[in-house]
Amino acid sequence: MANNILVLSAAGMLVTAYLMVGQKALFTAIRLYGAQSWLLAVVGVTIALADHRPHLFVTAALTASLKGLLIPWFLMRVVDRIGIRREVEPFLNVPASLLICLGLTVVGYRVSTGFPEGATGVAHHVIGVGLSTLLIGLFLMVTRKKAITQILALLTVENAVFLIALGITSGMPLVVELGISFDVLLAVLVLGILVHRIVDRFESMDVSRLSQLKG
Amino acid sequence: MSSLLLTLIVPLVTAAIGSVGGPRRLKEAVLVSGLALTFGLCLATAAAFLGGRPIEHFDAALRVDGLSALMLVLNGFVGLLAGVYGLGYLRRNEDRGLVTVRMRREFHGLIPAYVFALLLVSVSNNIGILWIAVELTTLASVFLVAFHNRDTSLEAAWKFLVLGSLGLGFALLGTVLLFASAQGRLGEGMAALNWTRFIETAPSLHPFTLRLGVVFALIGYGTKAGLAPMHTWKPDAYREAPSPAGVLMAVGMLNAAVYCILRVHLISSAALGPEFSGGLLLSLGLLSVLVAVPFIVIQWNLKRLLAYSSIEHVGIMAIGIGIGGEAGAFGALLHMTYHTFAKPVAFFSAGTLAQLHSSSDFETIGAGTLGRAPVSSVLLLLATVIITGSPPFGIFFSEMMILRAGFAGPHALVTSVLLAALVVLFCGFAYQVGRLVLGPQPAERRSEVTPETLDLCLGTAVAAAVIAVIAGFYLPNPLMELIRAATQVVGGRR
Amino acid sequence: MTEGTLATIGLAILQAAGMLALAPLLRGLIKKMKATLQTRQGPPLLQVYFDLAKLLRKESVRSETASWLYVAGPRMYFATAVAATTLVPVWMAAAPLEAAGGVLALVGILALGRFFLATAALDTGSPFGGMGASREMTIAALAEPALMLGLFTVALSAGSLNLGALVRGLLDRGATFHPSDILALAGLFIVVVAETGRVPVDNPATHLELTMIHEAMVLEYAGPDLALVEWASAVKELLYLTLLADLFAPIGIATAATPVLLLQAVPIWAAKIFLLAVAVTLVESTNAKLRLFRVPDLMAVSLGLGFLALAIRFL
Repeated sequence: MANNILVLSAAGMLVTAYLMVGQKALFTAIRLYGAQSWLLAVVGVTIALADHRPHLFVTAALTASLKGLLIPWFLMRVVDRIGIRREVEPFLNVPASLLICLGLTVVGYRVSTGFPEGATGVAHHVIGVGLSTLLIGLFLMVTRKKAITQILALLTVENAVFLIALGITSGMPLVVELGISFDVLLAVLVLGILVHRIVDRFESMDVSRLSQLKG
Repeated sequence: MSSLLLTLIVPLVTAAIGSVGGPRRLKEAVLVSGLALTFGLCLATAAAFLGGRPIEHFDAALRVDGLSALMLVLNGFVGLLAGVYGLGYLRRNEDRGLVTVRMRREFHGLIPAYVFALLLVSVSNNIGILWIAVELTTLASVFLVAFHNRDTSLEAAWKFLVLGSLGLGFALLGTVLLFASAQGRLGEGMAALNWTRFIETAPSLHPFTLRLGVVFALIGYGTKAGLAPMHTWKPDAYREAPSPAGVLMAVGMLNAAVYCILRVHLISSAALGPEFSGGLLLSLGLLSVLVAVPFIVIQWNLKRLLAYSSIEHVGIMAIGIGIGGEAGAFGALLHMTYHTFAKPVAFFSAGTLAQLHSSSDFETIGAGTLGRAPVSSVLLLLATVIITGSPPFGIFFSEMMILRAGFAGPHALVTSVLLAALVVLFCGFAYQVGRLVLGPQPAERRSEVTPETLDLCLGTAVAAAVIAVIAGFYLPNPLMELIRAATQVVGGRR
Repeated sequence: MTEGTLATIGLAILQAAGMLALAPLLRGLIKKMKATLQTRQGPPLLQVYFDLAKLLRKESVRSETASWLYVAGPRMYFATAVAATTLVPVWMAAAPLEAAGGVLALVGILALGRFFLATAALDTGSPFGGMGASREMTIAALAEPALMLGLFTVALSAGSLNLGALVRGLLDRGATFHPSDILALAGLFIVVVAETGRVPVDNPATHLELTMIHEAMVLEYAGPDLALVEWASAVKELLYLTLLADLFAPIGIATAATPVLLLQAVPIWAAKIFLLAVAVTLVESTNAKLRLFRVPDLMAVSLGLGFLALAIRFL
């Protein structure tokens, strides 16, 4: 049972990452990120129950509340205030992006077999999905132009790192995870403020306009 | 309460006081006295370390060994210098009506916060806490880069934050993988991530996981250090950040990032032998030095020139660490020390020139600054002589030490490329600065520019120059002892 | 004719009749839930039945230029939908006519019906019919391979392409999941949304010429012809949801044709369909309709998920 939930939630995270690549509405992307965080929290709770690691409950609760609710809410407010709803045409069109992400997933899965934990079984899938999501996040980061999407890509990378951490070690020490979570929250706040200032000045949050500095 | 905890608490309190309103004089006094006290506490902590055994707190999550003590002293020094210069910088801008209340509050809050984060990095023994502290340095410095709120500063801040966060994402993955490579042998609690614990269990770490972790961690922290090819945020951020923040980034952040790299490198060396991460560092370092060459030769902006010089120097340090052995490590640490003393002079004099001309582009500043701002120009020339590694000064010796270690070992090819690059870099840097300072004065320039006045900035710059020159010839004995203690840590003896 | 054949035919007729009877209810249910989410009262649950009854009583109006194709279109569409119901296990872990074909036959029969409907829409020469047909086929061209990929992925883990054997295989495997299952489910769900003409691909409730797809294709029909098309669409929708339930949650389906097991299976099936209907309603209510030229992107996502599911199977 626990294994099923783990596999399903992890695969669900991959699906959300994939859907993020496949569409451009910013609100939907934020919602997908929220869903992804909830799935991560489910993974955390499941491992906590199955392996009796009570401190993972705290991590999961933090993940759900900060990344599942607070950060999406904040980003939606930013999107609302700046009034930009859609990603512009990315550097690559959707089918090509999806094809590349397909390749990235294969790579992520192959690499996961190198870990002693990741050769077979549930951990193989969790780590494989984690590495794939990480690569997809990086891919989103380089191909998307809107500042909000880049933030979401960063956050996806970060979720993927947490998933890998859960799959490979059943979680880091609690203090460290608390610190990391609050750092991430802080980073999102800072990024949000910066997006605000950028939009104020450029009347756009198109990152490709930030290209005056060279050499 | 021990001096170590106070060292961390004092800048934090200073930041808290600085970020609220209050009379200007009082805030200035708080900033300077806070940073001076911090530096004093850093010295006291280092002295305490020299006097006895390593200092530890919170399950050894914070721990002062030789390396940390050296970092504390260097970063505390830079923090104080940046704070004092920063006050002068704000006053100057205030005279020109450029300072808003928001800016003042940001400045007084963020500079000590940045210093706090740098010091926290310097004493982190726990690689998880280390990551958190590095993230804090990033967050504290973003708004300093965006300080002037120009188009270009927002661009620079955005690049800085996105690239920095990406690097930190990699570093986090690296940390996770390092932890995973122990396969539960480190235990459960917070102490499980302690670097000392890693070194103890090093032989039993799982090689594949560890390798992957080391690669990710080195790339991640290398981004913060500005190693090529993850260096692209650096020129932009240096150009846009106000000079005091620039110094903190160019020296404090660089030291802190090198510290992180060293810790990871040491875990990797203990488990896999020095070749793996050493080779990685050698190639990244050499690439950084080589990347700096063309950009220094064709540079069009004074502060970007300094950024590429800083990329060059972090490259040299990485090569020194990569070459390894007692000599390589000692060379790298010595280089870091000399660099810490020399770089502020360059930043302060360049900052004055940039402020006088409202731009740091060579074209806007115009040649022949010696006639318009003689003191800063002389200081800039002096700084150039020191940081390019000219003979009587210390950086020459540290570079020589690294080169000699390189030729002695199996890395002769890398070392000869480095030597060639250093020669070109010396000429390029000297040419750029010489052209700026000594070139023929354009006729119409003189009247537009407000003349240089002896204020706090200039005073700090002169003081920094005096320290740099003295340090270039003679490092006080306790400092040498710290460098030796740090070399022992890097050499594998704790 | 042997007794076994007779029983098979009887089962097939029963199953087809049951699906035909219940399909309009599903439509009504989704409409009602959508209305509730928008805090409207909405039409009564049985409204779709009333509509169908009304349409069936009316006279057919046909264009003078229309050929036999125009008449055959709705009938073929209806016939294929009914035929398709006999290939899918609904309440029992065996499809009544599973000997006649499996996954490929199902996809082929549905494609045949669509082909006739699209040809018929072109027949009258009305611009709307042609536009609707071309749009429908564009989407179908992407949706069909995605459907097949999703079905293949599940078939791979069950070890059979025959739907009845597939469901039995899944039941034997027990409740162990593979990540490819969830990827295939996500891909197939998008296909279902597209094939049943729901938001964000198409809006079943609008007749705005710029956006409509399915509605444009059947715009020319009236009376009993229209009733057949609507009814067949409803059956297809129920069929697709049943397929999803079969493939990803086969638990509770009757493993033998005993009355007790069947009596258990029907409410469990109804509950699964209800949950899926809720999901469809939520998707419809929370998403805006995509612009037409964005729809291929969505289909590409579904196709990609299908490929991914298949790839992960082997990793």
